[in-house]
Amino acid sequence: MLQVRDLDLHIGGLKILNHLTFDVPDQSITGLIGPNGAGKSMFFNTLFGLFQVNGGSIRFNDVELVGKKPHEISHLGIIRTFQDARLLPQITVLENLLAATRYAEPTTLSRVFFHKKALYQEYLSHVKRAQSLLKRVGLESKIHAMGKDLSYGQTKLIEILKLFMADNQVILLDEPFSGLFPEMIKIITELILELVKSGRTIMLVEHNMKLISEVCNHVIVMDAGTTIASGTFSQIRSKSAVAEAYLGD
Amino acid sequence: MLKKFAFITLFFASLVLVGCARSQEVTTSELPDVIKIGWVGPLTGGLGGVGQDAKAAVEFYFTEHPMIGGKQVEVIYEDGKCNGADAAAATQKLITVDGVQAILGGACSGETLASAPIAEQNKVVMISSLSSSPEVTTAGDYIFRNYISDDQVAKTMVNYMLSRNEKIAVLSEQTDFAQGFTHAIVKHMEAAGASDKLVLNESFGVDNTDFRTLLTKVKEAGAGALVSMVQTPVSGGFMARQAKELGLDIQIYGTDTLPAPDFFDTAKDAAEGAIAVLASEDLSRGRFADFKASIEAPQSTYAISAFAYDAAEVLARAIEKVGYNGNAIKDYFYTMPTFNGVASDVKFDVNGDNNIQAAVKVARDGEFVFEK
Amino acid sequence: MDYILHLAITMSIWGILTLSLNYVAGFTGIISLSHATFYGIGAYSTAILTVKYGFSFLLSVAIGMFLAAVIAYIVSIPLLKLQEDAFILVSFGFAIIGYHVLLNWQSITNGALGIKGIKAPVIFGFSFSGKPLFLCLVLVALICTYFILHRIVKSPYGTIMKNIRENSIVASVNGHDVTAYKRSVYTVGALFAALAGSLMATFLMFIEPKSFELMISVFILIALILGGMGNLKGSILGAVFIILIPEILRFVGFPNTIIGEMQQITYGLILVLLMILRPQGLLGEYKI
Repeated sequence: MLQVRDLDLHIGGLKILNHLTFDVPDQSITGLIGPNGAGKSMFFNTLFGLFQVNGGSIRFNDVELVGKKPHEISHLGIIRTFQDARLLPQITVLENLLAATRYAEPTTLSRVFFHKKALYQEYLSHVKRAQSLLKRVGLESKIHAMGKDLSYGQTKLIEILKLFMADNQVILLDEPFSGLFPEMIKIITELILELVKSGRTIMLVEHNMKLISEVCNHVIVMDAGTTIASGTFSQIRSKSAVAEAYLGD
Repeated sequence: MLKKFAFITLFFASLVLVGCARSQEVTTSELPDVIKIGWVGPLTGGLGGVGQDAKAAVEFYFTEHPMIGGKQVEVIYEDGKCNGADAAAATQKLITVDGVQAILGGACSGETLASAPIAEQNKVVMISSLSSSPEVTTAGDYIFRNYISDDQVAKTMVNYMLSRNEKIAVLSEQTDFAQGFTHAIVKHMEAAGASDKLVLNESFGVDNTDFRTLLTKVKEAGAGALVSMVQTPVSGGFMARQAKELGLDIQIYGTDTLPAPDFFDTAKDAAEGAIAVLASEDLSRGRFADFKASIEAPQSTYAISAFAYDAAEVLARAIEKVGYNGNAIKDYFYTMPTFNGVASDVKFDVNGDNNIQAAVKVARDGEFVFEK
Repeated sequence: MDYILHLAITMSIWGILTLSLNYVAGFTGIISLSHATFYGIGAYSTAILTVKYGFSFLLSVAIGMFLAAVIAYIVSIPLLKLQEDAFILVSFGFAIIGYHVLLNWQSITNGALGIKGIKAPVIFGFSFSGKPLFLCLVLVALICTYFILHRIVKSPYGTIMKNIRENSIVASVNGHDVTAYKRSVYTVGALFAALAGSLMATFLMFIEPKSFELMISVFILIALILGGMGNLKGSILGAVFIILIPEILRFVGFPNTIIGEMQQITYGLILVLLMILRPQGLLGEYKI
């Protein structure tokens, strides 16, 4: 259960997040919608500790996230995609996936030298998993391609595959479908639904209202860094005309 | 992986074997058909001008005297770039590839000190006409120099200043040379039991040209003598002029980084009376006057050309006498009679140093001249 | 012949240096311009401890590496907080500070005069004097360095290093403590640079502060870029090239009057050409 209370983020005199307050129910698929600049991506960044918060709190299963470093947030079981689908350009697709993989223990130099067999075994199993994931989406031939050599659609696909490489409880998806053809959207939707079935909590930033209405069982509407409505899709839909203004997609 | 490893090992093993094959040692004192002499010095970089001058002087000597004992001389010039690693490689190349038995060089002390072990090991003689580090004194049996060591110059300067009984302030630039010299000054003052006369010792950043703050401190310390241990004449000039502007009536001392047109241009009338203690050509030497008249003007000073010329001549005469063999030349150098050179007398002491006195010169009317 | 051995030894030592910088800059993206400072710490540790205090070679190397690691670790705490551009400038500054410490701490380092008379390494009573033996010693050091670093970069640790290089934010979101990794990488890089320094000191038997000034750090970076960042074999190649090219130029028959300048100009031209034709270096996988 994710609880956001009075979250404030000020950057350069602008109130990016302004007393932001909402709940994300356990094992829900929560859509986060609102106009551009509402602060949706910035909320993800803030949750991950990429920006210093000016006030408020974010609690996940009663653990305070504010003040934690990004890798500590990741270790709590929270993972995310990036809107600009950052595939690391000068390493291979396989390495991109392996970089996002969660090992049993953090990889240290002593593990490399003194537990190399165990580490290697783990590594091999992760490679197998990466290979089968790529095969599922028809990208097995790209496994050793450099990150920069993939198309936009392929990049976004790999971004989703990374989510399968690490154990997690909460997944933050930042516009996973933006700029994609319908065929690609279909593939990614299937993958996301698979993640959903396994009992995770998902937050989805998206502009496509049709998808939101189909996929999400809870919706939060943001504007100017604050919540203006929350509930099921039909609930927020039926709210004031202000909320409606954002739904005309 | 294993194949690659084996290949690399084999490659290097063959190098080792090749290296083990002894290169022919020159055991005969007979002169080879072409006498190849090596030269190492900075041809490029900050001290390139100095190195070029030394090279030009050596070339000048061997143009006048292209033969020794009826055999042609060939000088092979290598760029030491004023650093140990490059000079060592250059020396190794000259010895192994060109088969030289004598090297004129290094110029920078680092060049000489890094080349010394290689020369020693191969029994090749080195004569440096420019290295001033005291460390060169004990660099090896085969290492000689006709130039004066900084230690000697510092000692001369300290003795001169102490004889005037002044309180001494030192301002030094943060370079190898200036710091080394300052170190020597402090050492000699201690040795003379006069450390209390050193009232100020401060350093400043490279190429600094504003000394007003430091000079104010000098004034407050009540010093009567200021050692201007700069790296370039321009800095020295600024220091002198700013001292005068501050109303600091003080005797300025420097060494060979002072005498140059830049110093006088920058210091203007503040230069008058400044004292430079340095290895210098002796104008009263007849040979020097002739030399100066016949050689092209150097980029740096005539002293550098003169000392380089002497090193070449001393070597040439040695080869003529005992043949082209490092051992023979070394033995000869230790026993040779005093040689009347262009820059100075040359007589090597038991360490291979040339114990000549540093000169004391005074700035008069835009030139550093010998005190009457 | 001795000259070839001399060059082989120099190339091998620079191989260790370049490998160590590759580890830091090529694989992890920490473009450090103060690598020569750790090279200097190793060299001076061995020089001072063996010449002044009679320590054994191996002990002096160990102390030198330890010292370099400690200083690297301490320096990395404020240094790695900086963003790329600021980092490069400050590491620049650190290199200059390092040079001045060597130059001015005269009671320990002998300042500008340098330290001479560093003897050939004696390990367990066996003296490695003479170039062939010394080359063997250096090659062993080079091979060990290569294998240790190779093991690390080929492992999942290496994937994390590259992750940090490509995008440190993504790396931290992926669950990696970027600061801790960077600090560890910077320290390990310093360790091997110090090893190279100890070897160079006993090779030339004379060191001075000038041998460890800023330009040397730049040259190591050039060798790294030349050979290719992110490729360990490339580092060996880069070291070979950066030593070999100026030496080969000695044999090109430039007229005596302009020999020095022509060698430098040609060297510069070759480097520029290589960068234009192949900016990722000869074997590189990474462009800055």
